[in-house]
Amino acid sequence: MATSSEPIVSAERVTKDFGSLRVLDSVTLRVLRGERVVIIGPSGSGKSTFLRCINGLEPVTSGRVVVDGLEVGGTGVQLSRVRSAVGMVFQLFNLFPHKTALQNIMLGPVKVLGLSRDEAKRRALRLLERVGLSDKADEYPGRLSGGQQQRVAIARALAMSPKVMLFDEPTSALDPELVGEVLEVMRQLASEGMTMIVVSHEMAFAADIADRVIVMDKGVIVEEGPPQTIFTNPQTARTRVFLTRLLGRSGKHEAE
Amino acid sequence: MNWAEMGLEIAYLLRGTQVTIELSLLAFAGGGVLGFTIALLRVLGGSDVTLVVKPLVDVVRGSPLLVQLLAVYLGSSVLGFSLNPLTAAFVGLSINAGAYLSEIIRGALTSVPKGQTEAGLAVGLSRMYVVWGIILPQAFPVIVPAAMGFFISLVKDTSLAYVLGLLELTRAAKDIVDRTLDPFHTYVIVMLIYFALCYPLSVLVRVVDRQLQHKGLARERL
Repeated sequence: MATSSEPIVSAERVTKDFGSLRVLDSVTLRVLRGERVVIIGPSGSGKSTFLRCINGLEPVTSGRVVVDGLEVGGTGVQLSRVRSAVGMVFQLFNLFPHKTALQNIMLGPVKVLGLSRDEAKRRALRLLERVGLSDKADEYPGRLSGGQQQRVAIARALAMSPKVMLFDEPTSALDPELVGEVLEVMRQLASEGMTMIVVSHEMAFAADIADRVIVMDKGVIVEEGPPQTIFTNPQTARTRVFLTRLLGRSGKHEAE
Repeated sequence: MNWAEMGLEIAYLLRGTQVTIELSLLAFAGGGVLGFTIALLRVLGGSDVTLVVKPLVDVVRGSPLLVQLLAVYLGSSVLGFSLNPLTAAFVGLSINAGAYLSEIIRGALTSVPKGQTEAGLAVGLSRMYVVWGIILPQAFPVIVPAAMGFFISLVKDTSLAYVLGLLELTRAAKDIVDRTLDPFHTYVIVMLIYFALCYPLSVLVRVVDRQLQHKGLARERL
């Protein structure tokens, strides 16, 4: 794989409390440049929260996160620098509904990176082409399908030339027939060597692209390893239970 | 009463009407600036600001405007910088309008889904820009009709300024009644003047509301 030994994301003993509830309990994870990590686990396991700690959307209660040498947290300026180096794709797309697809993508490059509008527009059009939506540049998000919206959201994140991309259940809110087009874009991205941390329940996708699968439950990492090992020969009971439930569910899904 | 006298009375009422309109617009502008500032402070400043500002807003919203006008007018002279009636009415109405408008604006800002803020922050935009460039434009279709509706009640509320001796429409009516001893005709005419000011506005609110909803829908998937 195209990984190097240098971690681009390093989370050290990250703990996160919501009031009296401990959502993350001393989670440590290092992700190497070019590595693709897929995080799985039951809902409420803290995987989304962990992802949100990496770009500072959730401040950590204790521990530290360093992205590309920059500590996540501190002043607004530093947070902004970290965030522009980390692309994030949300479950509900979160496109700006009052802006066209093109404007959604241009906003960050113009306002944060200081690109000229022409330059940002060229970049945005290139990215729209890359996610297969050149013809939708001037559409508002409300007129795009979920799959198209998510692809625009991926382009929006890529427009910042991020060093790492975070995906928070990017296909969970999509109709089944729209999942494929989004995963295709993500596969493409993976093949280009992008560092990716993906929270997902798409096991086939995880098996395909992941260098490493992390299993989380109740705020801790219960198991990690290459996908073949995790999926075919899980070492912990908790992983086995989770996978059985998940495969049972998706098996039923296919039978329908 | 002959026609000439009647003409004079009407002219007197129209002068009062002019003051009512001016006061309404001034207080709406003042209240708008104040309301926006308070709403933005509360949304951007978080719980610390809210702790200080919210009680003030609550006190203003929880007490009668008439009392507030008297407090500003009479209070100012006690404190040694006596305001003239127009200024006192402007200040009192602006504070009152500011408190209500801040709640309208804040409510609209917080009604925008949280994911919008997160998406803005995630591309590295500042919190300030996120509120200004992403949240506010989406809150606008909610703010505009509600603020316009508030303006209509503000126009009517300016009548309370008559207790300060300000010669606005209601005060003009009272002066005329004192002279003519004909409260019935006078106050019916005054009611119709207020109605003539407010009704077109309420029609406008409906039109604007429909327009904004239509525009919002056009962006949604049909």
